[in-house]
Amino acid sequence: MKSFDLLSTVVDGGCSCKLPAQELAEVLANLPGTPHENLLVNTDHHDDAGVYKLTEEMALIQTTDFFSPLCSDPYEFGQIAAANALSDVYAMGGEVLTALNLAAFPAKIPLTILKEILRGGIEKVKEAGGIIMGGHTIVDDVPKFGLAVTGTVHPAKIITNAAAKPGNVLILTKPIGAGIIMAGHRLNETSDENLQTVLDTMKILNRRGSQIMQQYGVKAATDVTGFGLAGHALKMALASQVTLKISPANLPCFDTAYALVETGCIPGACFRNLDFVEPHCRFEPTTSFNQKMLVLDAQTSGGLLICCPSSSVDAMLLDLKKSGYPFSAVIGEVVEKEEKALVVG
Amino acid sequence: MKTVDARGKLCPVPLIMTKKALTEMSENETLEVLLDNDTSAKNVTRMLEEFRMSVSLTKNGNIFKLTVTKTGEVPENSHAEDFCEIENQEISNYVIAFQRNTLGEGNADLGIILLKAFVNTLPEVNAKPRKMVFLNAGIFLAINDSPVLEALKTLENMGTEILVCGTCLDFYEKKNELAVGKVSNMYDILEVLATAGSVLYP
Repeated sequence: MKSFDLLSTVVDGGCSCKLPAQELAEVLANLPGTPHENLLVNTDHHDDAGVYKLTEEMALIQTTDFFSPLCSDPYEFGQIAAANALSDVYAMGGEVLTALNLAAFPAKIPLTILKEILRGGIEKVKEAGGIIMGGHTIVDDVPKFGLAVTGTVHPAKIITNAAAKPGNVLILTKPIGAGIIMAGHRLNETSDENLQTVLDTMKILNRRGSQIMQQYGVKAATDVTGFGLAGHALKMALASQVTLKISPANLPCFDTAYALVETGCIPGACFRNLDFVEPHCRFEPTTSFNQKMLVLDAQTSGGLLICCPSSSVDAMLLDLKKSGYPFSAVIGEVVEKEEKALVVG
Repeated sequence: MKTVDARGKLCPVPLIMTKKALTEMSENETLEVLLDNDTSAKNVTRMLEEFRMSVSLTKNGNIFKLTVTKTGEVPENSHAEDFCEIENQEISNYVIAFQRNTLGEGNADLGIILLKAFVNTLPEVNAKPRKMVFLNAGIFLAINDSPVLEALKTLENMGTEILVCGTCLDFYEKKNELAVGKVSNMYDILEVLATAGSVLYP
């Protein structure tokens, strides 16, 4: 059977098909909330997941994420979409308990493709130590896949994006530039090998990274996805009422991402994210246009952005590098709140 | 006047076409870009504004026409080395580890004079170090009132990477005074030393 190219069904895939951040904020504004004493984390701070306290010993983390295909192979798409959905549990410092499949699939494509997508998803949920409880599939012109995930965490050990403290050092666990490489590959401007590195990195669960965060008593972190490094760093800065400083010179990025930006290969998501961060962000004159576009690049299943206590930086970095995140790097720091919540330069 | 016809193209193709055309144009020449979707028109405008070029946009039916005069150079790939591991041919595979702010054993004043001479001569030699590491009292060479700051900045611009021990900066309370290089950690420093062709300890 001739293999079917999932990418032929979409224009924008992965986390770059997110609704722009400020449009989402407008939609959510003034909608009635459902406050409850057990609701520990809700959408107020645009955190990665919601957290509900069940007992003094246990809180539930609930999150969902799904998107349209970002690669040609259905099995790989399933793995990536699942790793991405599971990541929100890890960004909150939890472990995965159960998951439900969410799928949309066109009537005219062979069902074996859907089977492959689901197989990729199951594999990642198993790797996460979780179980699939079922799911829901609808007919839709553009395929979509993701998970609704339930995780658990001790209420005292929740990691949020609202607890960054001045003096914390920022560590990023995966390279950036994935959106740029994917756009470049669609235009045949970068090699299959470069694309494969990006896809393989997306499949890496943030599970070990989350466990390492707990080991070092980290209180604040987020995962980097569709709003780009700058967008997620800004959300953390605003929620924590501090300023985050990112040094673009130290950023780990995928091979050829920088060269692609230099040719003008800039995905539309960079400009969407620029609109979002610009009012709250100062780009120092030392930051080049290309560097600016890189920090704005939308990531799918990106790394953890960790606020590390400064005394643990060396040890934590070593552990991360040994545990499957070889490109982990210190990329900046948290300082007292300044006029702008985010400074890049 | 040059025209880029990006109708029927989706981002980032119109950006690539526009940037390429601009690079090939001479200064004060005018470029016209034709586009047929909102997003591309907005993104190309955004990019040109980032290049500090003034843009005018008109819309006729479904066609956007963007006119820009090239004023100044299109930003070049000046910081590529910050992102990509590009091996500089001029740089040798040795590393210098500064563990104190003097050179050799003996008279302290002489030690400082020799160290200044050592660092100030480095930009002149053909085989420049691939990286330089600053540890313990060595960090005083990389802060604001260092006697060899200029030479270190020159070397950094020439492609030598400068790593300064973060724990040491914290210990001496000099983190805010760091004037060259980047704050590093024992893991990266060890990796640099372990993978170097050879290491000099002045």
